[in-house]
Amino acid sequence: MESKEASDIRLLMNDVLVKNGEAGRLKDLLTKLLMESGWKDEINLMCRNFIQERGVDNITTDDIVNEVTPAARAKVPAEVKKVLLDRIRTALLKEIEDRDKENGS
Amino acid sequence: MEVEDEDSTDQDQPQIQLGELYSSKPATHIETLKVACAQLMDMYIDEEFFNLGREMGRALRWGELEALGILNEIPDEYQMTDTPGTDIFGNVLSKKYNFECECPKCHRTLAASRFAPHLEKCMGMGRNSSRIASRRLAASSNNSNNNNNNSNNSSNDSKSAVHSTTVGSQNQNPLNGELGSEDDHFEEDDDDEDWSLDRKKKSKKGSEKAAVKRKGPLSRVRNTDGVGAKGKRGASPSVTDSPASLSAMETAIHDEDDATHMSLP
Repeated sequence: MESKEASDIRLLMNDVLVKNGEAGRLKDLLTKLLMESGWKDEINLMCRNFIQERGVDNITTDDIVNEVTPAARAKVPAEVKKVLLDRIRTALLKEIEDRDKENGS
Repeated sequence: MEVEDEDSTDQDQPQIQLGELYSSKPATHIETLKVACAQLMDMYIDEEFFNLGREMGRALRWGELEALGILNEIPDEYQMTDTPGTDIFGNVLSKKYNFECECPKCHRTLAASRFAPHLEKCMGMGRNSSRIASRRLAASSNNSNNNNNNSNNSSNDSKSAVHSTTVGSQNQNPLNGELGSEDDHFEEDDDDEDWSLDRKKKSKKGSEKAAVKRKGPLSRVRNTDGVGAKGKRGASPSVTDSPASLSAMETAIHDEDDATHMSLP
């Protein structure tokens, strides 16, 4: 139940942020962080190795994504996650404040 | 922390009732929110990775990986090399094909591309090099050599001595062998004058014949002929004309008369 609620809340939050425009900013920040931390290059290398093993002609984009995603997730550095989480929280809190002001005043 | 529910009136979220959330215990409430945030973050990361995967797929499909030499095993010697100091094939950048030559005249080492223009100036034979300077050089070296040969001890007070000590002394010994070239140099100028003489003869002949039929531009030349040193060009002697050639022109005028007498039947 909790997970369902959580995921629903998550979708809710996402919608809010997208309407805010904050989602776009968050995603850009994430891209920058991941590139600077070297995650992108690591995953690139991983993908290439994967392609080489499987053979060029036997592979599709979906294959790559499905196979490499779990490993990629694990490789995201902790600092990036922390920063992103922080930003999400502040964005949501700010949204709450704004709504309070709108509702209250 | 007191958390308020988000604005849900305009959202498509019938499953959840935020009122329930609000009324439930704060601890779980917060936990749920935390989980929700984490999931949101994962969602963003997944999206990021999806973009990366798509880029990789494109690179695969369009052959970038093969071009970069990632997939096939390119032998090392054919790999692109990116080290400083070499080009992309691995050849060391060098100045091997910028040969250096030594000028036979002034014995300076020069780059090959600058050799020909330097020779022009150095030997005084190009179009833009001044021949007067080279003549003076040659004349002074001639005088200095003659003086030295005739009287060893006499240090002449003439101007030529000053020149010779400065210019000739340096070039004295090497020029003994090169005097011949200086003379050749003179002869070539004489050749030039012969060439100009021939032209003058031809123009004289042409003007004499043509004067009867039509008054062309040559008529002007003919009219001003006997005045001073004006030649076929009809111009006053210019600075660049050396004295030797000027005198030659003057004599040429007299020579011409003899020539015409001789050539006309």
